[in-house]
Amino acid sequence: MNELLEQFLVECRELVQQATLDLLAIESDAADGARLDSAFRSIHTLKGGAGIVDFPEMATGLHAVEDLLASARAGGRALGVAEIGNCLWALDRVTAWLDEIGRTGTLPVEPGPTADEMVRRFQATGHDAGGQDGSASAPRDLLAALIEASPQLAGQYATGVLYQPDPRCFFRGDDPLALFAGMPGLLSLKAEDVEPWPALAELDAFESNLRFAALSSAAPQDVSRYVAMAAPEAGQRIEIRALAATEPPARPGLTAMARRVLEAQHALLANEDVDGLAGRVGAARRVVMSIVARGIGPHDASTDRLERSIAGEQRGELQAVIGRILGIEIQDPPGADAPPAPPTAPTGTVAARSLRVSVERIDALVNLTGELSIARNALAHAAALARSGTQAASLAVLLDEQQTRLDRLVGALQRSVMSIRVLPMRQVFQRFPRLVRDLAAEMGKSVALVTEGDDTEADKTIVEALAEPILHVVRNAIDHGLETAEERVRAGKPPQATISMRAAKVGDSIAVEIEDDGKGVDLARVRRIAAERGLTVGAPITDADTLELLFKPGFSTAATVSTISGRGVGMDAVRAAVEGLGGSVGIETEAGLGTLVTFTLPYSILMTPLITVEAAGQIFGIPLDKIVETRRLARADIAPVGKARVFVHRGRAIPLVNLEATIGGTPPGSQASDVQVVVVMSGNDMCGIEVDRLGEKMDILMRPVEGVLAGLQGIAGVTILGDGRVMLVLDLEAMLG
Amino acid sequence: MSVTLDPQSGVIVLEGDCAMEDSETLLGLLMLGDQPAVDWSKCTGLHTAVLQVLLAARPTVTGHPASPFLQRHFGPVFQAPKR
Amino acid sequence: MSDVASLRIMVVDDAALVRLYYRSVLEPAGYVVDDALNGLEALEKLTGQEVQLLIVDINMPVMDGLTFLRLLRRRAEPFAATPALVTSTEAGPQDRKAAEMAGANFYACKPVAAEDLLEIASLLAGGVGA
Repeated sequence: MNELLEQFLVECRELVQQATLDLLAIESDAADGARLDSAFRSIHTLKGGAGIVDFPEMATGLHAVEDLLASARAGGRALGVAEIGNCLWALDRVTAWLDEIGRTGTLPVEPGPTADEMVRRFQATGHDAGGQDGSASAPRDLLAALIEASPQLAGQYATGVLYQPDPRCFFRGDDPLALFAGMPGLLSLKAEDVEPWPALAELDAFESNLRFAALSSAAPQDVSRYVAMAAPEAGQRIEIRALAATEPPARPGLTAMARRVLEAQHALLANEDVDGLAGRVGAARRVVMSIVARGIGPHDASTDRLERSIAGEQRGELQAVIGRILGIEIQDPPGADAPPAPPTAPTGTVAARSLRVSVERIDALVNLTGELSIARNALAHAAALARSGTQAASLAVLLDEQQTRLDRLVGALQRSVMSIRVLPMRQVFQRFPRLVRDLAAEMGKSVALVTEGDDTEADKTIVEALAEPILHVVRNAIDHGLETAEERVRAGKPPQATISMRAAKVGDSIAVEIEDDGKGVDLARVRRIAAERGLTVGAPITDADTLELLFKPGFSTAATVSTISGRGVGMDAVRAAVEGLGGSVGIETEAGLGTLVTFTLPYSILMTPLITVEAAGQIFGIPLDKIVETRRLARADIAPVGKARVFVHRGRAIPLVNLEATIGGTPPGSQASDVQVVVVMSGNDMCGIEVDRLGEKMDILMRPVEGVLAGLQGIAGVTILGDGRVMLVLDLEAMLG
Repeated sequence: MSVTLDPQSGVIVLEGDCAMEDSETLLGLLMLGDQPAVDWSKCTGLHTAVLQVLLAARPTVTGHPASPFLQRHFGPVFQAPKR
Repeated sequence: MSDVASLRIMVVDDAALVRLYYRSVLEPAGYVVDDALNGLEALEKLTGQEVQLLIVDINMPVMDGLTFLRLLRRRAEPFAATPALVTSTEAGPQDRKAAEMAGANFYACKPVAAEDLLEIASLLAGGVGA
């Protein structure tokens, strides 16, 4: 997958997430305008992203969503439940596209029908309060009139635009003129009244009675892309038509874009009374020179002269030169008496994107860097003293002092760096309001979700790895643990069930609890099923042991495999995942009152980078920092020395180790002509390790060796690979010692 | 304020960027005079609503606007003889 | 005309997707593309190496694009006179105007189509482009 798509996926998923949360918040508090703004921005940015990766169907579909949100925003109107449902549905379609992109590495093959359906759904909501659309025939005449009136433009225009703004568009903040001012390739623009102008006294200045026709040299698709981005609200009121060019447009002169750029320089130079005037004039001069240097048709002959004159011009004169190039006369260029309008501060803040590391944490790192440079300078000073023959004793005092300081700094640096890898549990918890809502609806149950300790932080790996196990527990709870509203009422409980998610830091660990107030685990049933499946033998077992059965591979108490928990992994996999991170999972239940699942995980984990190798049918991990190089060695170059074997590596004889022997087997008598060797070093000792095959680089969490492997020499730890196999990590210190 | 009446000459002056709200001011001023004149040579931008008032009232417009966009597309409209 | 290979463009945008996009369009056309994640970083980078064009987003953390431009234009030549294209997704007349007031040479709505981007770059910075 190309990098652009990869980044697109990451950002889009965050934006979908953000929009979903906002929509759910709006659903529970319809008056939350800030959430509506945020949802609108997320959708808008999503649409923009679709434009960047050239996924027009997604842009079109989201455009419809954006229209709805924009109309709600402009009208101060609350979104209905059905409309929010439609928006969530559309976000699901987007997620499906993202998933497909993730799977295939390319844009979806047939996104069209989905996008069309999106557009249809949002049209069906009938939010368009625009009243009757302008009859198509009259504006088309306006375009024809414009073409007729512009014979000098024949052959230059490729696109015609007709736009009859919604009479109430000004209230939404629309400015059709500004839309045309920014339109790519704009050549000509005409405005006329829709209804004949009334007497001035009856004119409503805030109601639009205009329609526009425009000609552009840009391609129709470029114009429509621009319109979609610049005036999302105007969408369907704008008609964009391809116009056949009557002669090739390759005439010398300014391109439409060059004209627009020059106009922008002209505008930039309009004000004298501004900060950084010299910089502005300088920048505009560079741009004008760049354009002049490209050759601007009629001025070709005098380009040199023009260039010379531009080079020396000041603001007013330079502006006049641009005016001449553009062919417009400028009388009295506005001077200092034209007060610049105060720049409008951009509104809206970027919500969920990009800034994952808090500024305080970056600042802390920057400060540490500063302190480290001071320590380095002190060391340089000590070195200089040593060179000048200062006594060892006084140097030692100085160096001791610096070492203490460096120790402190390195410790602080490690903590700072680790803290950057820290995420709040919110990252995981925030996915659940939506999930719980959907799952509960699917099961016909009513469930409230309560979260606590969203700000509890833990290592990124831990937080991210918790999502799947929590999801599984929540699915189980909704599917099996919670009763329907009727059952609950019969049991004397409130009709709506509650699932609580709590996170808290406990010492060096974090604890995450998922509690429901359902009917609890049916222990008798668990015993019965376990017996049926042969998971228990004979004697009655305690309640605690019965619950342990839930974690046995293949155990499921579901009478029917429902769509919800059926697709999930078993609790055995949940336990394996959590233990793989150095944590544990426990379950408590009380009949009729509910079930509590507790995950306990370390706050931070240290991953060991290593390379996997295969030898003797087993996978081993070799810590990356111990590897000197990998090479192939001719069998003839291996010399037996007593029971051992050695080979010469870079002029030094080093032992060759066979891993089968290390783990207590017999070395096989392989007779291949050469062998793959990994040369490792620990301290000053080197050795070669004979392997069958080199694997891949990976970062793993090492666990202590337990059980049957515990007695093995030369094994530092084990880890479970993704496919369930056990990997032994070599303890090179022990092997070489 | 971007729309003002020059008390000496009686000319309505459009200055800088004229925003949507200015359309009402302009409309009010245009209704005051008999043969109103508008000077837009210091005008750097017009909101559509302001343009609409000019198109509806068709006052005598003097000068060239400081915005090339306006001059190019609407300069000729107002310099042309009134209908 | 300048040799396009010597033309440097700095993209100032906090969104990695956008930075990647500009890079993927401009580099094949021969521009040397540098980037900064916000205005402050761009100001810092613009003390040593001169660039021929800045492409600046408006909404950015730490320092937004308009503040950056205002500060840049007040600096000493040659950095103050670096041509700048300002882009933003909030397509509104107020952004276009605010960009101009801050000293932008041109304004475009995101996303800028590849061919437009190349043409604008070639007009503002020189080089062959589109």
